[in-house]
Amino acid sequence: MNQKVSASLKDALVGEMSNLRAFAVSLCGDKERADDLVQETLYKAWNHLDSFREGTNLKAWLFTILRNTYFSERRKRRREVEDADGTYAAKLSTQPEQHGHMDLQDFREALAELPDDQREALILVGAAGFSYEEAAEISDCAIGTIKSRVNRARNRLGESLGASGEEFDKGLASALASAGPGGR
Amino acid sequence: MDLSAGNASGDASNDAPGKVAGHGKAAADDKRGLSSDLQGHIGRQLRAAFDEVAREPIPDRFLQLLKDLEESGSKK
Repeated sequence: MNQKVSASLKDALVGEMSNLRAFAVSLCGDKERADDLVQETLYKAWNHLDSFREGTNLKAWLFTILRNTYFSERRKRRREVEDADGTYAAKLSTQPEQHGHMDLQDFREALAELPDDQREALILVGAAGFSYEEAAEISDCAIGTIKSRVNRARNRLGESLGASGEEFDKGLASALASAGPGGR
Repeated sequence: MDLSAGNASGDASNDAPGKVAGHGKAAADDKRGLSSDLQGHIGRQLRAAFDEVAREPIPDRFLQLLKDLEESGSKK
């Protein structure tokens, strides 16, 4: 079907792969599943490259395919297993990612406990570098919806990290004291 | 969770002028929910978690997949 994919488009595809993987891992919290998602996304992208207009935002296009794949699988799974959320959360808490630094581990777990839509919005805006507008297009919702999801996600993360975060407060206070007032 | 609480219970003698300013800012931000320090912390953790994966080398299976797709046109 797409025998003649331009070399530059293929290079661009390869160039976005690392970001796409990082998005998948952050979104689903499970590296193996994330790589399956990326694989599926690449298949779909390749087979629909004719619907991609070269010169437009390839990264956003790929992220859209990946998140649509993820969410449709989640919906399917939810129909199959009634407490999909419960089993998913349990799986995450018993099988933490092994590759991470320990100081990121708590954060990853807190992130995994967010509702899907909030986690997605936070990653898109806070880590993947998309504007609110781009994130809204990727998630197919209004900009205001993205903003409120990001806010709710932040507040929730703040609660779960802050609740166990007396150490963090102390560490941060001393870091701030040594860094001086120049910061943000 | 709120830094201002930590400051209040911490060593007042440690307080640098910059910290006092930060304290005021955090208190103002509390009206909207989180202190700016905690927001900053969350932002950094979020990017760190993302970047850690993004910096890993691309698994061969994906490069191989693209090669296969290129050769066969499409697959699956």
